[in-house]
This record gives sequence, structure tokens and C-alpha cells, in this order.
Amino acid sequence: MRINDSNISRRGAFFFIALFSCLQIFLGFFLITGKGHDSAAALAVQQNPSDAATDPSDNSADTPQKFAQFRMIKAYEAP
Amino acid sequence: MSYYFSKHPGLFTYILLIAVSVLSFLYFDPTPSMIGVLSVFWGMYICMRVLSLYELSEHFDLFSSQKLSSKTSNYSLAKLPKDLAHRAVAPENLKRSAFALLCVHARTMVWLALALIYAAYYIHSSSAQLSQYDLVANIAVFFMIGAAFWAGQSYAYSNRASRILFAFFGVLSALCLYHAAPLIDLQSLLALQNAPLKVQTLILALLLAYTAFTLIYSITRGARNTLSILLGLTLLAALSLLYFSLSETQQNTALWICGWGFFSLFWIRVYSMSQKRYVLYQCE
Repeated sequence: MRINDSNISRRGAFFFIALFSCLQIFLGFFLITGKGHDSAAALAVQQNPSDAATDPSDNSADTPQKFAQFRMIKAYEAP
Repeated sequence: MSYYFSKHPGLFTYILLIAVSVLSFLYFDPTPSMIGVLSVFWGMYICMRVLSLYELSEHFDLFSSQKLSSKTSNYSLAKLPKDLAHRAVAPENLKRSAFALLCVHARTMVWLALALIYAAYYIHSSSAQLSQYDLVANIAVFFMIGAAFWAGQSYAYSNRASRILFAFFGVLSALCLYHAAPLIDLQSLLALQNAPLKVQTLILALLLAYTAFTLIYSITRGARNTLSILLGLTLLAALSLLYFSLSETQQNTALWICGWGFFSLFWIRVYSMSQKRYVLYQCE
């Protein structure tokens, strides 16, 4: 493609990259709002059920603050 | 602030985004929320850059055919000497900046398509092991690498900008290597020989091979900047080796964002067309 070529092919490319950038913004907002935390915690518990059942007397996960902390830790641990 | 700088994202914005992304991966071990913020900034920047290049693309033919310095066609606007001087220089600048449009060349679009295939396969293969949240964070990082590569090209056509970018990426790469050097494990490279070949690795290898092939092809077609292209090939080889020897660490991510940004400087040299050859014809 030379610089003097028609704009039509370039328009398609710009549209493709604009879509890509919109998707990137969407992913960014998804990460900021943290909507995937619940599924992350569920998956972490599903993968390591022993963590949830090690100490039945420990009710720390019931406390909202501690549960939130638990979820955060589980979410950030990459398997 | 002039109209141009208020609307079009410049080199400084690009450098700032790269520096913030790389340093956050090197020093702060970013959380998914931080990656999200970076991703939003990158997305907004790419959107603005696309609009800026689109405007240039749409108006290039019109401006190149118009005589902007003519007082007859622009009588009402051509008043001040400064304005006249600008009008005399503007078409030339526009003509040069039209080289930025090479970043939407078919070769680059194929690169982006291959990278998207890699990302799609990564989602497909890792969806069982990773949570949705981690998966999105990793995809956002992939997109950052692609954005760094694509946007770098749109500045690298200019000699002055490419010199600035060369110095910037040189310093940043040295910093990344300084942090990553203790983590390099050559055993994992050797272990790749015996490991079963994954489709994901195969797609990545295809992307790297395509990039290398394009560079070599341009040399065979008589591209002018052979030295730059050879340097690009060396950088590509180094990036591949470091990727496979530094397994999934933050330093590796920082190195790849910085490395692909650096590589875009050499990639744009592929488009320098063949040399002019002056032939002396002798009349008999």
C-alpha cells in the first residue's frame, strides 16, 4: 500500500484498531470495577476445597471485611 | 496550547504511557485494578491516535492537491505573515507525516491479526485454569503490548522522533534487563526441547516467524536500511529467548512491553522502499 492509495483500505484498518481500543477500554473498566472477583473466589475455592475446609471453627470468611480480603488474596494468586 | 497539540496525542504521551506501564510492572507488582487503569489510558490514547491518523488519511489527498499558499483560494484566511509562512510549509510537513499511515499497512495488520488469534487461543486454553478476572487482566496486558508496538510505528517514520525513541527504549530496556537478569533460567529453554508442543506456543512461534520472515523478505527486496533491519532481527531473537527463559514474571511483561515498543522502530524501516538506482543509458 502506497501513501497515495485510496482511503478505503485504510478506513477498514482504522476501524479494526478503533474496535481494539474500545475493547481495551472495556476490559480496563471491567478490571477496575472488579466484577469478576466473585467468580475468581468461586474458582479458587473450587480448585482448592481443602482451604475452605481446613479449619471449620474459623468463621473468618463470614465476616464481610475478612471475606473481602480472602477474595482479594485468592483473586491475585495466579495458579 | 495550539489546536493541533490539544487534539492529537503526541510522542510525549506515548513515552509517558510506556514509562508508567513498564515501571509499574518492574517496581510495583500491579494489581488487576492498576492494570485496568493502565488499560483504560492505553485504550483512550489509541482511540485518539486512530482519530488523528484517520483525519490525516482523509484530508491528505485534498491538501496535497490544493495550493494552500495561494491567496486566491484562501483569501479570507491568508492575512498574517506567520500564517502565510505556515501555509508555505504545511503541505510539506503533511506530506512527510503521511508516512505515519504506514502503520496501517497490510503487513502490520497481519501481525495484529496473528496476535489476536494468539490471544483468542490463550482465552480458550486457559479458561479452565484461570478465573475470569485473571484472564481479563492477562488479555489487557496482551493488548498493551500490541498497542505499544502499533503506536510506536506511527512516530518512528520521523528521524527526530525515532532518535528520541531509540534513546528512551535503550535506557528502559537496560533497566528491564538489569532487573530480569537474575531471573533468567536457561534450563527452561532446554526443557522446551523435551516438552510436548502446545498449540499456544506454536501460534506464538508463528507470530515470531512471520515477523522475522517479513524483515528478511524486505532485505531481499532491496530495502535501504539493512542495518536497522538486522538490528531488529537481533532484538526479535533476544525477545524470544528472554520470553521462554523468563517464565511468567512481571519482569517478563515489562520487558515485552518495552521490547515490542523498541522493535516498532526497526519494523517501520521495512517499508522503506527499494533503493533508487540510477542507470546511465548510452545512446548508440
